[in-house]
Parts: sequence; structure tokens; C-alpha cells
Amino acid sequence: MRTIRKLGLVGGACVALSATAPASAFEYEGLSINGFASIVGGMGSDENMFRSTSYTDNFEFKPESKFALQVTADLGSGLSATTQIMAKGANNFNAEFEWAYLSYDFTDETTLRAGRLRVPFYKYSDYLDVGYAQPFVRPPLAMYNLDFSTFDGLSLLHNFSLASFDFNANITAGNVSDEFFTTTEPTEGKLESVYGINLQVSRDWFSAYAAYYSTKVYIPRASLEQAADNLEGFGAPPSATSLLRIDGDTGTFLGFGMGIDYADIIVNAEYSTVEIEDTLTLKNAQWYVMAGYRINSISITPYVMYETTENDPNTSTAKAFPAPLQPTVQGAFDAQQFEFKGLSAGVRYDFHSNAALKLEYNHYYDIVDLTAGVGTPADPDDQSVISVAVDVVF
Amino acid sequence: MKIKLPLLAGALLYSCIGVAEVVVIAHPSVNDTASQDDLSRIFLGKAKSLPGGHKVMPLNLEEGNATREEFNDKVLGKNDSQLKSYWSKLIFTGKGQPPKDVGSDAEVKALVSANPNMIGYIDAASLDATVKELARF
Repeated sequence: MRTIRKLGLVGGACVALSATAPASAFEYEGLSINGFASIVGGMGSDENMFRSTSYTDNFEFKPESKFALQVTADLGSGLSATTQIMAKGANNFNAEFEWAYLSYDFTDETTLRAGRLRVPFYKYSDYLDVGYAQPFVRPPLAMYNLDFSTFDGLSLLHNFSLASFDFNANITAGNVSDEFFTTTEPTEGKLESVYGINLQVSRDWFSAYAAYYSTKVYIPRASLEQAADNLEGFGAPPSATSLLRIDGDTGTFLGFGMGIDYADIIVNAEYSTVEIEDTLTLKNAQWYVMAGYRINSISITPYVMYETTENDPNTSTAKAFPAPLQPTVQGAFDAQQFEFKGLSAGVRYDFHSNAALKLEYNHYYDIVDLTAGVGTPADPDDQSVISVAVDVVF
Repeated sequence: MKIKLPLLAGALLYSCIGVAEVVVIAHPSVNDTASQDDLSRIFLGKAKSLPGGHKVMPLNLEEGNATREEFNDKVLGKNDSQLKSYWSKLIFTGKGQPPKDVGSDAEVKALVSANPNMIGYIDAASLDATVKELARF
């Protein structure tokens, strides 16, 4: 409450009014320590979670709360070491190394990083967990739905400017070992030779990016492996069942996005497609658009968001199977189909220079859902979620 | 703990510093110029040298300092929480660290006058011959 006390002094001298928040980072002998945390409480309208929402009809604090500390050691001559340790409520607050890498600045414009890093798929991927740096409580579920977010390998950052636009390229190469299908059938899998580039451009109030990644995907999902074995038992050739198994197939990711922050109007939109060729998965595409307005006089930013995701049917793979098996295989592909949308409204209140309070309402609803278990075409699912978050950085 | 008092504080800030000018300063030996855009890029970590190629490291006044708010508003066009978001993105992705915070105009002048590669900003009233004016806002 220092600010309030200071107001008494203002009459005469021009005392700094915004008060003296503590310095944001701790620094000592080339070590800088930064941190962030989000306390998120939420509740859904239904006891069944809708797809990847984190809430049932009980109010819970654990699923999305997190604490993180980042330590960067500047070793001099452009070399530095960084680790980020995060404890997530979803993981019982067990601390894990989210990032751990060495960084070397070749020049002011070019930096090589090596170690455990984030795959920069989307606009917010790089700082996926830093709620404070995002306008909403969480990025849209329809888009930010890839199970993994870190990889082990190399990242080359290069900055340049052209016609007063600032460009930022991040070229990555590495591997991912992680658990996939975490919500449906947790399976240890790997992505080999993840190669890609994320190119960002910005100027004043405008920013945009494009990203492309390609990899070899290995995820021996038990139910899928069993189904493929059964089909072979019924006479399907391994060359055909390999079109179902996730056994070293090419996965590609393509994403675009743009953002505007002009005259206190904020607009963000992103689009992406994900495809794993020759597997029992369907190519999906998703996009969202969000708009907000910053009311500076009261530090409040209301916003709304629309999101949607859908996948494409596959009618070709079944033809590789013997005729009697084709309906079964086609049925398996059809059962993967879904399309859902979400509408959200929220408000962000910057009540402190290091902290923001957010309140958000989401309504998610199925348009098409042929997937087993979660609703049917005749009985599509929906769920509303209300959440409140306090995001801090220090 | 800092609670914003937007209306009152806003009105008082306006009456207090509405007439103040911010001067961006460099070492007297620096023979270069800088536009608002150049300085914005340097203080946001997007550029590391002045247009003429002279390498510089920017210094900030501490958070809460009225001159800093004036500089952020006039030169960077962002408020404190926007800047905090901006730097969070860079800090937590290992892409950059914000300029170092310095306590007062006198300290900024002392550092800049002793180091040809530092630039900072101060209240115009604090300007003296130990440093060179690069730009005024």
C-alpha cells in the first residue's frame, strides 16, 4: 500500500507515483534468476470433461496452476547456460526441467542454442506456460492441442531487418521422446529428426509468423498395434497394416498467424494443420481469432475469442486392404472424425506491474463427433468452463 | 504491494510530468544520431547499435520513476505491463534480457559519462556537460 501513503506527498514534489515494485530479476555475478507462476482455478458445467478441457463440475486449482524458476548464467564472450524448472499442478507439482540449454552468440544477430528447448509451433508456444505474457487464461484448446512441447536438439536464432520490418528466424533440428495420446491412451513414443523453421516478422503494431516442421513419428499405441495384428490375422498384408501403424511415418505441421496491437485494440489469429501420413489418424486443421480492447485508464482488457478445429475424412487407405476387411478399416477411420468449436469471453486486469488477474468463460461444443465414447452425432457434447487466474512474473 | 489508482494517479502524473522532457544521453565522444524509431529498437533489444554503427548498451531508470514512464510512453509507446509482457516473452525463451535498471538520473549520467558504449535517458532538467544529448522527447 506504499502508493497510497505516497499520495500524501505529491502536492509539492513530483514523487514517483507508480510506486517502487521490486526489481523484476535477481542478479548476482552473472547469474540472473527470473520466475513466473500462474494460479488457475476452474470449473466445468458438466461432470464429463469435453475433450481436452481440464475441468469437471468440481472447482479445482490443480490442473493448470504452475510455478517456474529460470536461472541464466552468463559465462562471458557470448556463452550462457539457462535452465527453467517448472512444477505443474497437473503433474502433482513435481519439478521438472522444462528447458535446459547452452546458448552461444556468434554475432549480435545469430545465436545457437543446444539442449532441451521448446518447439516453436504456435505464436504462444515459446512461452506457453507464461500466462502473464498471454492475453487469455490459456491459449485456445482447439489449436494448442499437440501433446508435446519440448525437444532435444539445436536451435539457430537469426535476427535481421528489412525495410524497417524486424525478422526473427528460428531453425530447429532435434528429437522428441515423450508420452503421446496422454488423455486417451498414454503411450511412450518418439519423433525422430524434427526439422523446421519458424519465421516471425514484426513492425510497430503488426506481427506475423509462419512455421513448418517435418518429422518421423513412432508411437506404438497398444490398441492400434493390436488392431493391426488382428487385421493381419485376417489376411491383411503388413504393407497395408503399416498404413495404420504409427511406425516411422512422416508428420508435418504447418502454421500461420498474425497479431495486431493498435490503438489499444488487440487482434490475434492463427491457423494450423497437422498430418501424419499413412497412419490411422486424420489430417486436422484449426484456427482461432481473438480480439480485445485495452482500457488503459482502469488497466482492464476485455476480450472475446472464437476457435474451431476439424479433420478431413480418409477414404483411400481402406482400399489397400482385402475387400472383406475394407468396411472395418473404413469404420476405424470414420470413427476418428470430429469437429468442434469454442466461444470465449474474458477480462484481464493488470492490477500490479508484475501480476494480472483474469476471468474467462468458455463454451465448447461439438459439430461432428464420430469418435467413440465422447458423444455421438445424434448427441453431441458440449461443456462450459469458467476459470479465474492470477499470473505473475518476477 | 502496489495497487494502481488509475484515475487519481493518472491525473496527478499528468499535472506533474506533463511538461517534463526526456533526454536520451550518450558519452560526449559519441558522434552519432538516433531517431525515436532507432531508440525504440535499441531499448526493446531489437538493435544493438546506433544507426552509424556505434555499439551501445541501454540503461533504464527504475520502475516507478516518472521519467521512465515518460520515456516508455513517448519513445516506446508501451505502458509498464505491456513492456513486462514483452520482456517476459524474451526472458523465458532465452532471447533477451531487459536493459539494466539504474536508480537515478545522477547514476545514469555517471555510467554514461564513464562508458562510451552506454546510453540512457534522464529528465531534461538533469542534463549537464558530462554527457551528450542524443535526442529529446
